[in-house]
Amino acid sequence: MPFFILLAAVVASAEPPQRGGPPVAAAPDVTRLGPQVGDKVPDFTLPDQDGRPRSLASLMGDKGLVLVFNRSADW
Amino acid sequence: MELQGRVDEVRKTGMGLAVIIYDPVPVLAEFSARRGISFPLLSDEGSNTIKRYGILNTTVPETNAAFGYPFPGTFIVNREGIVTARFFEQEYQERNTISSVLVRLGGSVQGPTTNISAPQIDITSSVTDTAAASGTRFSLVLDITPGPRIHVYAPGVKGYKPIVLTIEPQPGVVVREAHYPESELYYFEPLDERVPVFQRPFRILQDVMLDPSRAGQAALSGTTSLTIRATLNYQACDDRICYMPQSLPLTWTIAVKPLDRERVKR
Repeated sequence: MPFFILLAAVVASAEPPQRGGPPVAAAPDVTRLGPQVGDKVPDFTLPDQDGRPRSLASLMGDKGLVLVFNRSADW
Repeated sequence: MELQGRVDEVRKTGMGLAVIIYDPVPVLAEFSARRGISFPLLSDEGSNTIKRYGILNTTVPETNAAFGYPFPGTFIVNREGIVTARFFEQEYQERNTISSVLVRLGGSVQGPTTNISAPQIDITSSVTDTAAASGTRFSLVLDITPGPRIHVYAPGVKGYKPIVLTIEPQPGVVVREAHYPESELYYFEPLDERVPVFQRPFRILQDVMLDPSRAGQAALSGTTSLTIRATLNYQACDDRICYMPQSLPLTWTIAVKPLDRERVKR
């Protein structure tokens, strides 16, 4: 029974894979990372899921862009 | 990905939508096909763009197989590429829903609303997301319309009771920031005083998160529905008299979803 409880606890944790050991640095204040309000964001050209290159300009709507950074589609 | 269900809401704002992920194109292609994703998923394999944006997660050692992912978050940029708002979370499991982001930008709330008739004010209560999983950060929404010539006092007022929404603490729920709009100064001639009030329709947003910690997940384990209880305290006045302070109980009920554990098929 304790085995199952342990297993459930592992499954319930949403932590990323930690195969490489413990974290190397304390978590920074993420609100200070990256472009701030009023800053210009770096341009880029990245392939989309169909392999087509997309630049910042090609993603813009009439009013701008919601640009989301996610962790992974895989875990 | 919660975003797909909100694509139309984003489009209505006139903004484009794109998601940057560090997975290779085939992984994104598979994910996109399986989930019916209709907006661009951009592959930042090697994490160069994530690094240029300065949001690489540096708490993960480079030897970790997962190294290269960002601190997740959202930038709102205008057509010139200037950031007009940004949403980043301190806890890595924490996610602002796109609906809570849109409502912060002034968008309307989708989904059911409840009208509450309270003394001197009318309230429409809603929530940005009707279902949430561990780590989901969403917003409780109160749209308040003071009656004719009525004002209520804004937070920061001295000598009067400000309108305040207080969430009842409960295991599994983390109370985040509340957002009250800019108040206006009301001049009360008999006392020659200027006080911060709301007298036009205004909105209170209260962010909450389903607690992603072990204890939080344990508290919500087996739960499919969650009721959040709160109290709205306020005092309303008109240009002659102040009414009795009110203490109004409010509730929101949302569905609790299990975490999304489906992985890319290889």
